Amino acid sequence: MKRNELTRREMVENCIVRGFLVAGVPMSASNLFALWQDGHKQAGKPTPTEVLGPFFKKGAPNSSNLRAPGDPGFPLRVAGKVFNTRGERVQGAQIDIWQADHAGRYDVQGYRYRTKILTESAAEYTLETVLPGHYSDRPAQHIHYLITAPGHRPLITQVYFATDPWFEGDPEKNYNKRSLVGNRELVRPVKLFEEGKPHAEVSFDICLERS
Amino acid sequence: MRAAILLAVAASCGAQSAPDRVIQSDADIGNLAFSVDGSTLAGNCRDGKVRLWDARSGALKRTIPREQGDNSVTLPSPADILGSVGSEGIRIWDLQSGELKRRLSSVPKRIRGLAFSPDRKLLAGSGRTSDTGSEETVRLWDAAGKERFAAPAGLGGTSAMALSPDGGTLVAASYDTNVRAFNTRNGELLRLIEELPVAMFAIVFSPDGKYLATAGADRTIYLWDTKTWKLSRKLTGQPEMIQSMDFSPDGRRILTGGFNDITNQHPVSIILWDVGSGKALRTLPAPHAVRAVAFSPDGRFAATGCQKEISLWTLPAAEAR
Repeated sequence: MKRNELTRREMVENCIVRGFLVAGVPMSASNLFALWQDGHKQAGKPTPTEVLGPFFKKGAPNSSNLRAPGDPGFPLRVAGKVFNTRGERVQGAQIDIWQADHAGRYDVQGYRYRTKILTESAAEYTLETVLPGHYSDRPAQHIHYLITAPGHRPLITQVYFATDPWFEGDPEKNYNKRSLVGNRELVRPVKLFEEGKPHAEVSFDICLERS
Repeated sequence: MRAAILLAVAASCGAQSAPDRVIQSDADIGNLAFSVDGSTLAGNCRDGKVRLWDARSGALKRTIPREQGDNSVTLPSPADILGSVGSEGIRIWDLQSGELKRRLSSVPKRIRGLAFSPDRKLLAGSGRTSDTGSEETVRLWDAAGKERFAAPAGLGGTSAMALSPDGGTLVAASYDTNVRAFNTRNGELLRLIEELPVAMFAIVFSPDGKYLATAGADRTIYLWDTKTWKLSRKLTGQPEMIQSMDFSPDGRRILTGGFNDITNQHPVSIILWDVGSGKALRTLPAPHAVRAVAFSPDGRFAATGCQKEISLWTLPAAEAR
């Protein structure tokens, strides 16, 4: 029996015809479809893995605000959502996040700049922190992630910042300098906000593989 | 007067200000081990080479370059063999003659770390389970090169591995902070230690196999009873994170070296512990992170590695039981 289902191409073409999918610049339907497919492929790829590092600590408190009043360092907000390779949002994901402070020091005795967040129905997370400092062993600024979720493979990764002087203004070219960052995708653009309280914002979505 | 008082205080705390001898290496020291007879000190250096020094004179006897295609080199204690992993598989070399003793060619390419049983018949390897993903697997091979088992070993990599003196137990510590003990006959998980908050960077069995010592980022030495796999006691007081540790040949003392932070640039303490009382017997100074500590086979000396410098210390005699 033939299943009455639209192919992805048919669906996208339908959307183009009906005006649901519109290109910002003049573009043929086939080009638009190719771009859409590229984007879809990217969205379906699991987030690249990175090393766990030596300073993971169990039992971090659940808090989205890691920045205490008066903490030195440039305020940073990191936000994103957790979904899987099917594009489904992942509820109940546990995200352990830890980073060095503004001076490049990890708190191993306590839980400064460490948290464990549980995603709810929207599968979103937000983190108020500071830009991590540099240190000699891993001189690119980074934040560590360990994500576990029922029905999915655990993921260990890190987020980096395109504004980091380590990338010399060209993350495209320099992301793998000294083999430090394994994947360009993990170097995220940084939005700077000057008005009100100056701060930086980074978006970092996480895509898990199903187990 | 003040200096004299400080010296007196230091002496009463068991501080020792300078080593008996210092050997300069051409590269940073990764780990150290004495030969079985104690005449040679071997250093696995961070440039990928293994260097052998005369333990008495400090003269460099030989430098062993890394073989082409090798990704990592493991130097066990005592220093009789070398293990290497790379494109040629796992290779075991005789340290003195340089001869290839064994080769395991059909092993997963992702193996990184190795550990050997004291009789050198069993070989354990750790590495990522697959090219993608963060899961780790440990494997054990017998004397014939046959794989006995492969078992899950946590997430994010293996921070330390050791086989018990009788070869019956394999212990693997993971960067995810868990420690696993496996029966080497069949891979059965004997104990999953999940209660540690931080990763253990150094693990070592007591020479009689009754205890497993683990130490790491929380500056504490945990002594586990290997019969019950319960925590027997904790040794506390190391001011820094611990990354190197050795048991004395008589099992009565432990030596630890640490690092202060990730820059490895701050002075640290090397501590000689009395296992029975849990007290620090001696505190030895080091200018930077100490990646390697080793007792001599007679337990009278210790070698410690700090960047390119190896310090040799005469240790106080253990008190009669």
